[in-house]
Amino acid sequence: MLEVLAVTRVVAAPDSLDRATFPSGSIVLRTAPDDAMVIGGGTVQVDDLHAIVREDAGWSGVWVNRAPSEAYLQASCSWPRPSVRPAFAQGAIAHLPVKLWLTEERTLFVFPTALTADFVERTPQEWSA
Amino acid sequence: MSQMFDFAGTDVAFIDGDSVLTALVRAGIYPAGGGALCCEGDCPHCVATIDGISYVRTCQTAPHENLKVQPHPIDDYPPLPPDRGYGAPPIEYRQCDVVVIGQGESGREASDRATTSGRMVESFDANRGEEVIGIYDGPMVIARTPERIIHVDCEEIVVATGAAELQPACPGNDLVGIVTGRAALRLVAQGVGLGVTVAVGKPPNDLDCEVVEGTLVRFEGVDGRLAAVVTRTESGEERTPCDTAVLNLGIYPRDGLARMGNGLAVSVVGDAGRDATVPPCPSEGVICPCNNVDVDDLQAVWDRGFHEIELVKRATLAGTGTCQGMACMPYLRSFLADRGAALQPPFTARPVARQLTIGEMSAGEYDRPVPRTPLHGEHLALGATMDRIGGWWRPWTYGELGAEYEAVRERVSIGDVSTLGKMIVSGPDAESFLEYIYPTNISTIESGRSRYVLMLNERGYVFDDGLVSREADGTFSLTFTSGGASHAEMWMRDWGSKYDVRMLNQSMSLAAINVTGPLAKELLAKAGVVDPPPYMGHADVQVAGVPCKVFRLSFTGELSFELHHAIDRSVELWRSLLDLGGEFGIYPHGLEALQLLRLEKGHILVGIDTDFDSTPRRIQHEWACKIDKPTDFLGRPSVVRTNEIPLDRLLVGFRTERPTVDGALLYSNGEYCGYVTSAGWSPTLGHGISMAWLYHGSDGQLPGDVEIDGTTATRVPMPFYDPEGVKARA
Amino acid sequence: MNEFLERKVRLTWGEQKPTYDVVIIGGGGHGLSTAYHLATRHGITNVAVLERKYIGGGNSGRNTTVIRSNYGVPESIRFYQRSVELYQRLEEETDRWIMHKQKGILWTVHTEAGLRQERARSFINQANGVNTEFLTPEEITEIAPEIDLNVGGGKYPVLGASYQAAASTARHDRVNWALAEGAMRHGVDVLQRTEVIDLIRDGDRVVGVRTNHGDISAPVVVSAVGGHVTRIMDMAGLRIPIRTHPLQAFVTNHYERKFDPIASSLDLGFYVSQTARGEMLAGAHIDQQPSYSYRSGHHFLSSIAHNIQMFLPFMRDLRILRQWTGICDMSPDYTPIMGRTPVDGLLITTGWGTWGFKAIPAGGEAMAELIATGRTPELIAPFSLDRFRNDRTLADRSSSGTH
Ligand SMILES: Cc1cc2nc3c(=O)[nH]c(=O)nc-3n(C[C@H](O)[C@H](O)[C@H](O)COP(=O)(O)OP(=O)(O)OC[C@H]3O[C@@H](n4cnc5c(N)ncnc54)[C@H](O)[C@@H]3O)c2cc1C
Repeated sequence: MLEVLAVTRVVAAPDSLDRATFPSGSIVLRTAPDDAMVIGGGTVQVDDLHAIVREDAGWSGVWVNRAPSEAYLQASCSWPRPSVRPAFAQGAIAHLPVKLWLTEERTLFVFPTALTADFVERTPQEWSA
Repeated sequence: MSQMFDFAGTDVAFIDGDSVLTALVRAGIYPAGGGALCCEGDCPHCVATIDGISYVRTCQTAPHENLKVQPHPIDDYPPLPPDRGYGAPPIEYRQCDVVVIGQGESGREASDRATTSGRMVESFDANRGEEVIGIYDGPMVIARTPERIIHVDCEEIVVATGAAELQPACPGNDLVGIVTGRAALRLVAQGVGLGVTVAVGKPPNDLDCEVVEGTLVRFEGVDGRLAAVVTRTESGEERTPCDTAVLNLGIYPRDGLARMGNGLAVSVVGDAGRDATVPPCPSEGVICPCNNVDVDDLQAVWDRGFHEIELVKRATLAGTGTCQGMACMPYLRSFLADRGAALQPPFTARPVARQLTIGEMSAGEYDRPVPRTPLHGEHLALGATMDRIGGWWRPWTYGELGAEYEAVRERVSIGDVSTLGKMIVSGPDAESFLEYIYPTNISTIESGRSRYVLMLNERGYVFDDGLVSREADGTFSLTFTSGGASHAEMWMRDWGSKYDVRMLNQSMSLAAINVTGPLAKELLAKAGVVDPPPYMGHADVQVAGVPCKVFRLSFTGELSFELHHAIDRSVELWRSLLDLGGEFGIYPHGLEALQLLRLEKGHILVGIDTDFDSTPRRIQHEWACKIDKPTDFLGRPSVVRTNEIPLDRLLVGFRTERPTVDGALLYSNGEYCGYVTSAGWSPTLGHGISMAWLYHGSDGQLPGDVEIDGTTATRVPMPFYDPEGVKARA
Repeated sequence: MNEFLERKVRLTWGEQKPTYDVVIIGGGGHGLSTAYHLATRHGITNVAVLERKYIGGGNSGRNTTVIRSNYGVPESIRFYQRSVELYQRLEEETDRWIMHKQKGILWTVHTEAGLRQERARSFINQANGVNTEFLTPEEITEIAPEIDLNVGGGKYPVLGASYQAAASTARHDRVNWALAEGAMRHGVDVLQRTEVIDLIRDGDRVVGVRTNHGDISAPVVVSAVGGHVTRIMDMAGLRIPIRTHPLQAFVTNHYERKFDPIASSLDLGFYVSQTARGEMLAGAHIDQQPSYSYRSGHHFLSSIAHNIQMFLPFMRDLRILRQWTGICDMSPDYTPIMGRTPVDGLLITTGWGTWGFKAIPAGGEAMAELIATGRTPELIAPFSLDRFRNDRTLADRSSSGTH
């Protein structure tokens, strides 16, 4: 099911971000050394006085079982995914900026909500049903 | 029971193991006329139009029941195909350590070796219907199969494509009935009768045929079919009658892919890597069957100074046809070497090594993504015409330009400005960083206040504009233009890497609705905003229950509030505002109206009214460029330097009594002196207004009034509307 | 025999001499045209053209041969129009078949902003003597019924186009050869496989060149080296505002000759025409990453294939034959740079980027006049290198259109 994700963005000095504590049960995508995308809500503790911590309503995502997600990626993603899971990866998929959270059983596709129409057009119908 | 495919309206039977070509030859059909068949995809003699696609090698195509084959026109080009609508096959992305191209003996060995040493191998072979079309940077290999396009990223490529058998270069080499040794074996294996068969050169072991003595001189034929082979022996010319001539003239490496991979991690094994010894120089006959170039043609250009292989290729077109030089390259080289021009390397090997259609090449491609604001559906529901503007889908008009305009000027309106670039900057260096980025004073922006800013590049030219706001917590909120936002973000991150700052891009996370018009305050009050921020101020407030950061600024010239809010609340907010505004006669406005409204106010649109060499001085924005501010800023040295140079043009305003259009030209006493960047008819003022580049005359003076579209245009100061800015500050 | 065999041109190669009056580095169209015009217009024939590979081996033998003058600033419109006119006469003047053919060029637009821009182009063109019209979709269909006006199912609707009927193409090689032959006939030495590896200086002046075959002295050295210009300028200790970017193109196989115009969409990022030999020839924009590499890319091909088949659906089933790459000397304002440099004795003709084939006749004519008379012709005065210092750039990005 395609859904708008509850995301908190944390931009902080990299070493502070390394030490930060994230709510249990959340998924933390470290999209850059100074940028973490926390999916699932809750409070983040980071010891950087200048950290920018903001709710971010701009992301949507869809969970897909491992087999169909792999089949899809093989036809839409030109770069190799990490072989060890869980793992985070990001890059162009079907020419869209996508972030992947890969677990043993499932894969979460994360993309800007503003590109939902394009994402829906380029992914299997059942994902957005 | 045998199966059939269609060749030009007649049924052709095929059996297991056939290619389209072997089935055709069995039926006595030669789809492209004559010429020595190779059955290995090297020569152009078997091409046909298959299922509407021309230049398909029938020897590399497996037949099936529904196939429709048309002959390749002999003296003409195939027709342009009809429109079948868009289509592309699927693509498959693979990754491995080693790609081995060719699975003959040397290729299989290479694959085995790599596999044994624990490396992941992908292999391709045209005989299995997998044609490699190119080697690219990466290294990366692209292959095509009948079903799909395959894209492989790898560490290393092994080219094991073997060698091609030489084509004959002598008169009569375009007759039907000439085959290479390997082709003969394939045909025989498929039960194709060759009739009386003779061999020139050593025939393949299993082939039962007479070997003619001597060197090949020519082929003789009747009605386009081979009748005899003529050779030269010590005792003179000898004519051997036959139905089929099997040729072994030597081999030539298929090194195209290897050469294409020059400079990449590509190695070559087997015959593909052998020294390309050139055959004896031919004395007559066609050497380039694709473009029908014969030895006389080569001689003709040689005699006139064309000696470089590239020049000979270009002057004769030898090597530029469908086989890309496979047939002629050995002879081109031997021809030139024979004339003392040293043995020249073959001309550059370029993709595609095997041809594929534009449809096939589109595999894995999509349109450039175009983001939509959360209000996209609202706009459509209101009947808006959407356009791609600044990289986004945006409402151009709701169909009622007049009503849209009027709502803003006289009552209240809302517009979707979600596409604005938005960024938060924080950090110990945030202020000094922004002081360096912007030509405006940043330190003097008080908490809760905003300031209009230009962005200059190193050359002192304006490339974007926006707003800088200081927050109570010491961070800064920035906006950029919609179209310039992604460039601006890169710009900020690039220059910001030297500073201790944090940046968060919120362009796609926050939506923004501009509430504008004389009744904007009343509308906000109804939406629960009792104490809206002052002009150029901002505040965090709830609007109709939606948390917003409200900026008060004005692009339209009226009292305006820009409500930035999370995109997931946008539809709710938009609908509430339309609802609440009903009693004020609210009507939304699109981009067309907005462009007119801002033009009346003389606000520039970067990229429309400015060009890449617009200095603050040229666009009359020196007020936004504080040359004397205490800190250095990007572009300052250039601005200081160019300010010393006499001005050549200025962005100015004109009033006309008739409407004009963007791009209309300015004349002063018949002399061209500039052009209109934005034009419109102001309903409020009742006359035409335009912003234009006005050039100084040869006397160094700026013309006063000019002519636009044959009518007098009076230069007037901007803003055209409400010059004191009373309305925006109301 | 084939109808496209070069039947007339005779190339007579020179031998390197130790001194010349003028040395031109680069045997591309601009170098050859400069030599040609020096010889034919000014009687200056003690001239050498030095080419590190073979003549026309750079961009002048790799381009998509579009000739047009629908530029956006008057200075450029006038200059390119001069070149268009010289091209129209070039076959007659050289008595060589350069396969010059008038085709007309369509620049379609798919957004309101594009529409305004191309309408503006028609105004400025017409005011400068170039008949560029703005066409409605219906008029586009009359010229090229093959274009799908509802591109991409309406995502990129064709809203109109600017159209210059006088736009044409010519066979690039034949242009290079006709000019080379004309120069050679007057005694110009064209030296292939001769690479300039350094400039010879005397104090502040350039007084000659060092080649892989020895030194040559000359009071005037002209750099006409296409995408390699920054390397030559480096030899003179000069930095110029040029970045070299690869530009790619491809052709399909040969088909019935039926598609008449040059059709281009800036928005979709490609242009296409059909050659005299029936190939559909397509180009796109430059690779964003600056580079001197001639290697072809796959993404270029696939992305253009996608856009092209949306725009011209019949092209879906055409087979791609070959792709290639040139490296382009891009100027920041998309306008050429011609004339003197701050180093005496060294002249340049550059900034030809992705658009300089059409400029070969007029560019060479003007450079020759500058060399012969010592005065910069008015036509190219605006294109001087010092315009960047003087804040007199000629911004014309939307007209470069990469062809
Ligand atoms: C794919 C492509 C498509 C294009 N399409 C068009 C088009 O449709 N219309 C258009 O008008 N323009 C087009 N162009 C641009 C046009 O091709 C060029 O601007 C033009 O050919 C430049 O000519 P030139 O003589 O300056 O450079 P070149 O033709 O590149 O010649 C420079 C020569 O200098 C030689 N050289 C370099 N260094 C040295 C050295 N040290 N010593 C000796 N010799 C040296 C090179 O080998 C080369 O032959 C296109 C370009 C490309 C790449």
